[in-house]
Amino acid sequence: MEQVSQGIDELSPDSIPPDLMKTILRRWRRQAQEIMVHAFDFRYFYRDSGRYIEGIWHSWCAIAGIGDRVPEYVLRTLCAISSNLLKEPFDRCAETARLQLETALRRLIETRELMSNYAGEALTHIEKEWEVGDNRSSILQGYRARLYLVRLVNAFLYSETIAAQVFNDPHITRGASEGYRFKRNEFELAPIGSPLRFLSTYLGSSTDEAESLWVLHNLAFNSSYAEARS
Amino acid sequence: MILSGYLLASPSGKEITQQLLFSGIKDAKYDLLFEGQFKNLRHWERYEFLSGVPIEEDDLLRGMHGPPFRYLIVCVRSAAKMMFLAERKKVAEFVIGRLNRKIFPNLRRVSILLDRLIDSCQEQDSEYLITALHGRFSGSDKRVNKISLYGDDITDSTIFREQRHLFNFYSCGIARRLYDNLLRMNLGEESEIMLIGNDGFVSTRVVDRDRASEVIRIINLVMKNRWVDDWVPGLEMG
Repeated sequence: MEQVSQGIDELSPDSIPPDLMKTILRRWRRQAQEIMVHAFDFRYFYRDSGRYIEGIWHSWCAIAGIGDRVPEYVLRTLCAISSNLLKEPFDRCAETARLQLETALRRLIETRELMSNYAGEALTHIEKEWEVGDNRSSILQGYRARLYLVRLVNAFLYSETIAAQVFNDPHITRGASEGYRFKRNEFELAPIGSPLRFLSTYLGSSTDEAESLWVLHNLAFNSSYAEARS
Repeated sequence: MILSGYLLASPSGKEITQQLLFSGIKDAKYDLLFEGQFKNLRHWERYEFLSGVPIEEDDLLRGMHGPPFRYLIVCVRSAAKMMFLAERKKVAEFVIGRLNRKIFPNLRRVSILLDRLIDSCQEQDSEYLITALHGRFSGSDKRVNKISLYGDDITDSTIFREQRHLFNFYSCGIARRLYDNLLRMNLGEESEIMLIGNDGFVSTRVVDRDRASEVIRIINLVMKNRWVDDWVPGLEMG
């Protein structure tokens, strides 16, 4: 990330004295941490790029005064959704991630429910800065550098077995598309064995208060998380 | 003849009487007629559900005539519990839906802790073994949704032992384990006693009295071990 920001190909180990290392860590620690957290969150919880992008950008768009962070958020989103694409060659991985991000942002804008225009700004930023010819660093270069962090998450922080345990719900049934028989805004007595799986299934991108209350009500009264694992 | 339906129970613990069935179902459009024992099996009651309209669009294509359209219903009632079966699951669901519009507190489907049943069948000294498994993938790979396994003793297979933790099984087929794990001569559907689901779904081919007894024995195994919701009344089925 430091190399890209300095516009150099590779920092030689000899040219990284302790002071520079401190500066690099101070400068990039927060961003590196955020990228890893989001990749982790995506792999274990969201799992679906459309759902992740719409969910996270919906939240960001509700916060005032963070328009200057849009470029960072674009990179963070691209990195998180790429954790599913790492087996692809870099160019294909990048193009797929970009397409998924642009498609989801456009869909989000069409809902007309956003409280700010960060999604529109993100689309413009991607269009202009994806690959720039001069010495300025492009989104693509920044993305390539940050992808190492995503690889770290996949290699050391992700386990398919744990991911399956997180979504393990013995009450999942046949028929219904995601395995739950709940109908939105209708109250059922059916137990919920995995609160995260339930949330992932029923958490929409809309900000409907009644729907949110319905989700919370079910989690509060129908959750049998401990019982399911006993 | 394959019969499919659900295991139901009354949360109040009150007996599910025949009168309750009649009063729950009958109205201007629908009727329920008691026709005696099903295949001369004690506790297995045969009914005919009469509907002014076909329950499924395909019923006319199946050669059904009406109105009234006539559907076979088989019930095994025992105190506050009942196995409610029809020739098709959709028919059973429809009639149960009718039943629950009038009865309060509603009869509820009995959720079954299928993992416990599967665990018990995994033991070599268990009476039963698993011949079919259907489940949903719980991992994060979106390219896989479901899995179905069929075999003579699935829980003894490598694929089950190694991959089970990645799936939530929602229904399983059960057969009787033979002495000393002898190989089964009649493979497939014939040896499978019933299919049972975690949402109370049951399906069985009732070929004779022995098969009917086996079905009730498995339901009672589930009840006796309390592999059901807390609210389900504790008594076994008759």
